[in-house]
Amino acid sequence: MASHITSMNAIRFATFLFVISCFFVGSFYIFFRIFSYLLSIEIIGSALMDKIVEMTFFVFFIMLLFSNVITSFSTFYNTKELNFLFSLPVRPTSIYLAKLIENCIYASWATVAIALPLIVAYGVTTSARFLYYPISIISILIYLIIPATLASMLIFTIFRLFPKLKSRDVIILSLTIIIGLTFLYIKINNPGLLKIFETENERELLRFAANLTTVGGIYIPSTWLSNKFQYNHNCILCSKNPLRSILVTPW
Amino acid sequence: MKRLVIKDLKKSFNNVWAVKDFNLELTSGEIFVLLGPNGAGKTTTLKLITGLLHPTSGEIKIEGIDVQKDPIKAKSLIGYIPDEPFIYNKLTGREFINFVAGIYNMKRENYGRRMEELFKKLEIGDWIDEFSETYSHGMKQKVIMCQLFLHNPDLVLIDEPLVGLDPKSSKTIREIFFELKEDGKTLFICTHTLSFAKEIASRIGIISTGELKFVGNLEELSKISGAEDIEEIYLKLSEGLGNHRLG
Repeated sequence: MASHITSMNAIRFATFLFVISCFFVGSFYIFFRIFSYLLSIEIIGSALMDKIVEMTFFVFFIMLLFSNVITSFSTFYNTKELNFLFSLPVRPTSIYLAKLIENCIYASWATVAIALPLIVAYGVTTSARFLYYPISIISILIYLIIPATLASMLIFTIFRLFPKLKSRDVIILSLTIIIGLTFLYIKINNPGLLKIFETENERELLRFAANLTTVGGIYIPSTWLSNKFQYNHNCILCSKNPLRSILVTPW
Repeated sequence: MKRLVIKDLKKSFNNVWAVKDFNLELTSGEIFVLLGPNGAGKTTTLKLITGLLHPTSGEIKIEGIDVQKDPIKAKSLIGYIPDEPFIYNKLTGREFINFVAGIYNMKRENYGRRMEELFKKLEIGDWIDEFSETYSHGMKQKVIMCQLFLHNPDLVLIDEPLVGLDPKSSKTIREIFFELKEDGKTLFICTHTLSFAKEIASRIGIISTGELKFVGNLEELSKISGAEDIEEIYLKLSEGLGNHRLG
């Protein structure tokens, strides 16, 4: 019986490994092809690639805010588990941090699954130095914590201000606030981005992307992250001081 | 020695009093059983003592430590079992116990033997090494009961201890409670099982609409109600004979 269970677990693990490997290899191949194509475009290719990466991480950031808001209801408001944890001699801040990490994992695993092959493909296409890879992965982890924290702050604030609201209403209100703020930010900071809906063919799209000054902005974590990739893939200084590269330049 | 002191405790939800003017003192080696109809405020009172809820006013002290001012220290003195026991589904019973022991910074050599004895007493078999998602309510209750005694708490708070337990396990639980009493521990139990209350309680409290209407031992409550049987006593007193209070 025990050996039967062990062999079942081994089969399950092997299947999981196979599927995840196929996914990573497939995603890497697609990103590699896209980046190679973009780099092959003369003059604007490299800049265009960086802008698309920045835009991708901007979209990921908004999606991460959404998913963190939704998952935070099952992690931060699971009454049974919280009753159990708060009855123990544990500091509330420790409970909050543990739940924040749990929420971040639940909400962000899919983003990580997409971001990893993207980072590798970007590194391979731009012939990045070895240190680019670990620094990028650590940067991604920091990038994931930011929307998780913002989402939890948003939910807590709404519950504090409107304690009688139902969970469904809190989710709707949170998502409305996120969509509203995103739209407002783009409208004020990058009005050109909204013209994407007016592009009709590939050529116009390329011209549109090349003419964009920036997709995010200095206050947006996705911009910090994509700046970090662009800075680190050919950075010589980061190989001398990787810690400085993660923490300081050029977040 | 006063183990638990509750003074003028009040708790309201949306302008409705869930607990009102609750005063109680418990000493070491005492088993206090709180009886009352559904929604009377029993569970709220327990949650206030464990620090899960903040009182609207009043104070709760465990061995002189204010639960609101120093919750971590106060919580280290108590063991709490809620009416619906919680165990992480993807942990086995043994892993869950080890997890709780880790929170109390306990080493396995300090609790392993005691746990094995409790496993035997509560007839916990090999299922302790299976995922808790497969457990029945009674099995979960047994595991929770084991983790309760890990850190040897001075004050034990239990909400409905017998729900889901088979008769033999119920008997064992009663024996464990008496052993704790002998060891000088204080037990605060909320239950609907009147025969259990009669058997184990040093004192019984009857709560209704958030107010602790009566406190006393069985004889005293019998005198007030004019009834002999615990069921009759409870029914008469919970129907409301006024705000008489003993002890």
